[in-house]
Amino acid sequence: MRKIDLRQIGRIMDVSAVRTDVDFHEINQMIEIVRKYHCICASPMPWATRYTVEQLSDMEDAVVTGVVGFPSGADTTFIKVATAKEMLAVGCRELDMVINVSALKSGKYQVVENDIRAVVESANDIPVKTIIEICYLSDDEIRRASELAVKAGAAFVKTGTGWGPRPTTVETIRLIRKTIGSAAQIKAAGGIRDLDTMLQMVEAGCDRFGIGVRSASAIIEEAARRADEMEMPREN
Amino acid sequence: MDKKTFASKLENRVFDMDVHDTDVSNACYEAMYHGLASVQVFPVMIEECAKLLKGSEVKIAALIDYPHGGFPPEIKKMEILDAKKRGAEIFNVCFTNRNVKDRKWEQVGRELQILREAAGESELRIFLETEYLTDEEITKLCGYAIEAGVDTVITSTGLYYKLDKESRTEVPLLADARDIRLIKSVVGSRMKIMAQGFIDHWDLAGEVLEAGADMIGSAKAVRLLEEFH
Repeated sequence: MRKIDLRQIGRIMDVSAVRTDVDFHEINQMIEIVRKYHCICASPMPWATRYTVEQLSDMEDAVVTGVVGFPSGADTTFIKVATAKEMLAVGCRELDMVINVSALKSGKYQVVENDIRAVVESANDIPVKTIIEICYLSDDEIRRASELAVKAGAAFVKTGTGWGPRPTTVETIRLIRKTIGSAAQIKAAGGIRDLDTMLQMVEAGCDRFGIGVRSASAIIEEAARRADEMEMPREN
Repeated sequence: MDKKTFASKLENRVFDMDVHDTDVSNACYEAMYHGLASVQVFPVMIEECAKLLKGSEVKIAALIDYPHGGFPPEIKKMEILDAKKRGAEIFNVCFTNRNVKDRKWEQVGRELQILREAAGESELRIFLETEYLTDEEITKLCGYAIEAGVDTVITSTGLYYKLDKESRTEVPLLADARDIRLIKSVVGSRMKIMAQGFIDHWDLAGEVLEAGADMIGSAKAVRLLEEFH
C-alpha cells in the first residue's frame, strides 16, 4: 500500500482553475495555494498561463502545466502541436493534452496514437499527461486509450478534463493501473473534492490529482488535521 | 416561409466531441439531402466533411476554441487559419468572455480585430454565451462586435445544463427568445443572429425565429424540418 505524507499532500496536487467562469481572483487563489502548500503544479485557464508562470517563477519545486486541445480534444494534431510549443515557450514544464476521443470511439486507434505521439515528440522531455476523458468511455475504451497513451510515450494517463459530466471513480483508477502496470503515472481529475476519495485513489494506484481551486485548501487543511491527530499521544 | 427557406436557415450540429465518425458523416449526408445550410463540426472533423460535401452547396462551420474560448486570440487565429486550409468556410468562435465580465474592453476590441482579420472574407461568428452575461454586457459586446465587422452572433454554445431549483435536476439550458429579442434590438440588421441551445422541437425553433434569429444551430435539424409547419 502506498503511503503518502499527509503534510506533504500538496506534492501530489495540481491545483486547477480551468472552468469557463474562472476569473483573475481564482487564478490568484490558485497561485497562493500552490505557494503556501508547496503544491507540485498549477493548472490555469490558458489566458492566464503566462501570468501564472511569471508569478510562480521563484518556486523551484512547482511547475505550471499548459493545456493542449482542451477541453474538446477535437483540435487537429497540427494545432495541438502548435499549442504545445506555445505553452512551452511561455514556460510550462508539463502539458495536459486531451486525446481525440471521437477517433477512439470510432476505432481509429492509430489516429489517436499518432496524435498523442506528435505532442509528446514536440514536447522534447517535458512530461505530457494525456486526458482520456473517462466519462465518455466504456471500460474497454478506457483500457484501449490508456494503452495507446503509454505506447505513444505519455508520462501520465489522466482521467478527465474536469469538464465532463461524471466524476472519476476509484474503480477507474484500478482499471487503468491494471492496464498500464508501471509504464506511466496516473492523474485523476474531475469531481475529486475530498481527502478520503484521494486517499482511496492513491491506494488504487493514483499518483497525481487535479483538484479545483475551490476544493484544494479544504483538502490540504483536512490532511494536516489528520496528520496532527495521528501524531497525538494516546492516553491509556 | 416555405420549407426550403427554413432548411436554408439550419446548421446541423454534431453536438459534442465524443461523437462517432458515422455521426459526423451522417450530419453531412443529412445536410446534403435536406438542403441544410451548413454543418457545425470540430476542427479535426473538417477534412472528412470536406471530402463528403465536395460539389454540394453545404458549407462547413468550424468550432474554434470550443466550448470554453480560453485560449489567447493568437492561438484562436492559428486555429481559424488551419481550419480554413482544411475546408471550413464559416468560423464559430468562442470568445474570451472573461474580458467582457472584467470590462477589459480594449482586450475585447483587440481579440475581435484579430479574429476578423484571420477569418478574412469568410463568415465570422462569435458565441455570446448569453447565459453568462448580463443584459448590459450582451449589449456592449454586440456593439463591439458590430464595430469589428463580425458577421453573426451565436446565442450560446448550446452544450450546457443548469440546476433546476424546483426539481433539483439538471435541465438543458434552452435557447432563450427573450435574449434574442434583446440582441435584435441592439444589432438590428447590422449583424445576423444564430440561435443555439437544445432547439430540438419546432416550437422552440418557431419561437426563436419569431424573436429575430436568422439561423438555427441544432443537432436535430432534420427533426425540425419534419415538424415544420
